[in-house]
Amino acid sequence: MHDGDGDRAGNAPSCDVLVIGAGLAGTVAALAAKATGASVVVARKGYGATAFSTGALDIANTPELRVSTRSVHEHLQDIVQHRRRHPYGVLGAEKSAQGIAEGYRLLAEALAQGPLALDALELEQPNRQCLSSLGVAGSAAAVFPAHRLPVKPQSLALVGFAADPYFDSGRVRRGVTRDLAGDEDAPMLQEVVVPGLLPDCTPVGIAKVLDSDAGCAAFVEQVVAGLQGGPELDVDALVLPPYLGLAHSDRVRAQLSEALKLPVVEALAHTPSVPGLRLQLQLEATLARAGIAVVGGVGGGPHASHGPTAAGSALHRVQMLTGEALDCRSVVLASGRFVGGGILYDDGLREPLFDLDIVTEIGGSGEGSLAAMTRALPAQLQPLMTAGVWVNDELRPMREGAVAHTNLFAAGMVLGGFASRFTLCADGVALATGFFAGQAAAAAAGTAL
Amino acid sequence: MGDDGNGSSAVGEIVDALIIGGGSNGTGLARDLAKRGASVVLCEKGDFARGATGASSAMIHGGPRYLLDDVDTTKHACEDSGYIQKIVPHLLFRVPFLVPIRKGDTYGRLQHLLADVYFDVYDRYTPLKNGLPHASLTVEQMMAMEPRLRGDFMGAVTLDEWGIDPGRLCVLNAADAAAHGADIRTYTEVVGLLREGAQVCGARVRAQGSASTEDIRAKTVINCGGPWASALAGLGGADVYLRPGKGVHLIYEKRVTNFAIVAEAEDGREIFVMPYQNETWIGTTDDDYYGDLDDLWATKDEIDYLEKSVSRLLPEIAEQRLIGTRVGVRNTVGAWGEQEDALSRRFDVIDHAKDGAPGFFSLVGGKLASFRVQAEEVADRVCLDLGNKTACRTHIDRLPGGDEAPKNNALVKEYGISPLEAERVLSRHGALSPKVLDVGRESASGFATICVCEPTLECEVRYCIRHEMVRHLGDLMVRCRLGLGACQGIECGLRAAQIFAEERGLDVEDERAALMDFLSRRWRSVRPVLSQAQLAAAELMMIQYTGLWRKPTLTPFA
Repeated sequence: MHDGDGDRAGNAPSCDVLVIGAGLAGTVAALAAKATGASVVVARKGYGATAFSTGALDIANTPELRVSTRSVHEHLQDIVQHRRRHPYGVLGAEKSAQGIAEGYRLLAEALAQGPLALDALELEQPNRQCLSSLGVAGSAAAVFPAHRLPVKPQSLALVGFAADPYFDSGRVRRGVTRDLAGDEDAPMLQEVVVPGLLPDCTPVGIAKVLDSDAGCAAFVEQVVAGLQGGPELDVDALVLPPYLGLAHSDRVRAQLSEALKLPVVEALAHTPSVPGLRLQLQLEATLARAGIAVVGGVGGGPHASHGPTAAGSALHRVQMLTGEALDCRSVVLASGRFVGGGILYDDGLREPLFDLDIVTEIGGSGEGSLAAMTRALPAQLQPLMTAGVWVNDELRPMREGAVAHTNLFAAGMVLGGFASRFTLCADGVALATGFFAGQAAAAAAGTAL
Repeated sequence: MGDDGNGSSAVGEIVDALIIGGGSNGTGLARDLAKRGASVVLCEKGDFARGATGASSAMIHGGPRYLLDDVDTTKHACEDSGYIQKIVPHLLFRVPFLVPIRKGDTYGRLQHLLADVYFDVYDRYTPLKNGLPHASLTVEQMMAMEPRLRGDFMGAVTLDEWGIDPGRLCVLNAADAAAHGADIRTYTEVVGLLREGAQVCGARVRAQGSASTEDIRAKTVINCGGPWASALAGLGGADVYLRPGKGVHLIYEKRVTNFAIVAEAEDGREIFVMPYQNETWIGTTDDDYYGDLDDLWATKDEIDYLEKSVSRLLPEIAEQRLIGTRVGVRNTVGAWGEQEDALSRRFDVIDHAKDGAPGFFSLVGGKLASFRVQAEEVADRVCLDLGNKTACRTHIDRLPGGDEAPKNNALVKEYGISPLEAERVLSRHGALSPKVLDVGRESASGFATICVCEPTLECEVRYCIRHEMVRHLGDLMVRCRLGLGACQGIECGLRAAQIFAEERGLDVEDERAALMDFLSRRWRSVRPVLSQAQLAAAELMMIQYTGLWRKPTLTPFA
C-alpha cells in the first residue's frame, strides 16, 4: 500500500530516490540520481531481461541489415521517424542521443575498473560486427570486452568443444558465413573442435568452474593440448563459446591468449546467458561501490498496490513484500516487462505496483482478447509483447490519462510502445531513460521538501 | 522402399487403394490393406494425427456412457481396445478413473447405488479390454486416494481405462504399412478426384510447397478425412452429413493427480481432469463447429468453461500453469435435432456408388478406441471390390515395437541412461528401444538430453528423424514429444534443428526455417493460454531468436 495523499506520518525518508529494479535501466537511474548528490536505495525482486542479455549493447539497429554502413544515430533517427510510441520517439531524436551518451558515460565510469570495461561509444559510426553463438552474424553499437573482435579481421577460428550443445562451431561458421555472403570484408572462418569439456554441464556451471584458479588452469591446459597437432591457426583471433568465467571473465581469455599467442574472444550468447549474468553481477557491484543500498531479493521486492490514489499526488512510501516500508521523496520504476515481472498479464495487462496505464506499439491500451493482441506467427510483431507503461516526454507514467504522481518516473523495459527485437534498442532505451528518469527523480526529490 | 515410407508408385502404375487422411482411421486402413497385399498410397495434408486423432482425449476407452443407448459402440470399443493392447502394448498406460458421487438431496444414496449397478453392467465389457472391474468406494476411501477433492460426496466408483499416445499410434500404423510396401505421403493434399466417366479412378494431389499437382491412379479411393470428410466426399459429388464437434483440452505443465477424475460442469456435462504422461489435461467440450477446420483456436470461453468445471472439484488446478491446448473437431455422424453430446458415436462405411461415384468410399464417425475394427470393415469392403481374399491380421500381428520389450533396468545398465530416460524411450518404442539407444553410441553426445521437459535424448531424436517419416522439425513433437513442455521449445529447438540439419544435410537457411517452423507450432498451441509465466517464456523465446526471425522492414504504425 502506498500513501499518496501527502501524509508522511512524520517518518524520515530512507532515501531521496527509490529505484525499483536493479537491471541496466535501474542501475543507470540510480547512478544518475546519485551523481546529483541524492541518496539512493534500489529495491529489487529477481532477474530480468538484463540477465539474459547477450554481451552486446543494443542501441539502435535494423536487424535484417546484418552489416550496415548506416550509423547508429541514423538508425535511431529512423526509429524516431517511424515509431512514435517508441521511447526514442517519445523523447525525440536529439534528447534520446543525449541520454544514451550520458547514460553510457555513467555506466562506463562505473564499470571502468572491472572486467567489463567499455570502449568509447561512437554513435556516428556504424554498428560493429559481432558473432552470435546462435550462428548468426549481427552488429551492435558496443560490446563488452570479451566479445570484441579485432578491427576488420581477415580470418577467425571458431573453437568449440565436442558434444557441446550450446556452441557448435560448425553451425556457427556456416550461419555466419551465410549471413556475411557478399560482404567483401567478411573474415574467413574456420572451425575447430577440441575434445570434451566438462560433461553434462550448463554454460553457467562451466563458467563458475572456470572462475577458480584450478579450473582456469586446467581448462587452458586442455584447450592448448586440444589445439596441438591440429591445423595451423594462422588467424587474427580465436572465437570461443561465451562461458569462460563468470566473476572473472577476463582471466581465462588472458591466460589462453598468452599460451596461444593469439587474441581470444567469445561469441555473443543465447540463453542461458553467462554474459548477461556477468553484467547483472557487475551492475550490482557498481551499486555497492557507489554506496547505494540494494534491498529485496528473489521473492522480496515491492508489494503490489491496492487501489489508485489521487492523480497528481506525490508518493512517499513503497511497501516491500518482506513487510518493511521504504520512505522516499521520489521513485523511479525500472521493474522490467514480462521476464522481469514489471508488467503482468492475467486476463488483462496491468502494472502491479502503481496501477499505471498500459500502452502498446499499435497504440492500444493493452485491452483486448489474446486473439486480437497476438498474431499467428511468432515472426510477426505481437502487440501484446510491446506492452508497457505509458509515459509522457518527461518519463512520467500515466494513470487514467493523467500523470500518476508528481514524483514517479519510469525507465527501461517497463515502458511500453516497443519491442526490442525489431529495433535492437533495449540497452539504448535503458541508458537514455534510466539517465533522464534518475536525474528527474533526483530533482523532484530536491524540490519535495 | 525404406522404412521411412518413401516407396513411391511408378508413373502410370495403378495402386489398389488411395487413402485420404493420416489419422487413426487412415493409417489403420493403410496398415490393414498393405498387410493383405494390396498396394496402397496414403495422402495426408499435414503430419499424422493432425485432426481429431491428435486432439483426442488419447484414451481407448470403452465409453461407459454409451451403455444406455449405443451399446454397440461400447462393445466395439471395449473389444477393439483389447486388440489394441495386444498389438501395441508399449503405447498404452492404465488410467484409473474416480467418479465421485455428490450428495444430492433424497436421491443422493440412490445415485451411488445406481452408479454401482451401472458399472456392474459395464464390467461385463471390461474383460474385453483387460480392464479391472469397478469398485465402489466410501467417501473416506475416496478422500484417502485423492485428498484434495472438494465437495459434498456420498462416495465414488472407480473405473479402469487405457490411455494411449494417439500420434505415435498413427506413426506406427504408417510405419508398418510402409514396411509392407505402402507409399505414405505426409504434407500431400488431395485437391481432386480422377474420374473415368462416373468411376473414381484416383486422385489429384499437391505436395506442400509444390506449384504443380500429381495424378495418382487407384482402383479405389477411401476418404478417411475425419472432419474434412464432408468436403472430401464433395470432391466426388457425394454428400456426407457430419456434425463436426469441436473439442478442446487444456494442458497443464505437470501431474496434479494420479487419477483421472470425473467432474460435473456447470451445464451438467461430464468433464474430466486426467494425468497424461507428464502433463495434466482437462477435457473436453463438444460443440457444433461451423468454422474453418484449418484454423482452430481454443477460445477464452472454452478455456474458462473447462477450468471452472474442474476447479469446483479440485481447486488446486487454478494454481497450475497452462502450457497449451489441444483443439480438434470430431467427425461425428450427423443427425438433426440432437444435442452434440447425445449424438451417436457409431461409424459408417459409405460406398459412394449410391452417389454416382463408384470406387469411392468414406469412413465417418467412430472412436479412436475402435479404429482397428473400423479400418477392418472398410478393408473388407474394399478387398471385396479388389477380389482380395487375404484375411485381416491387424488384430493379431504387433505394431513395430509391440513385441516383448526389454526391462527398464536392463536398458539402464546397458546404456548408462537414467531409469526415467529408459522409461520414456520404452513408452514410445517398446521392443525397438535398444535400436533407438544404439544410435546414442555413434557420438559423444548421443545420450545428451535434448528436451529437458520430457526428457528426450539425442539418440531418440536422430532415430525418429531417420526412421519415422519426419518431414519437418515440428513432426518431432508427435514422434518423441520434443518441445511440448513449458519451455516452449526455447531450449530444445535450437539443438534439435542442428541435429535435423546434420541428419538431412540441410543448408543454413533450411535449418533456420526448420527451427522457425518448430517454434511456430509451439506458439500456436500456447497462444490461446498465454498468461504470466508463459508470457515471460514467450518473451524470452522471441528475444532469443532475434537474429533469426524474418523481420518486416521498418514500417510505420500510425
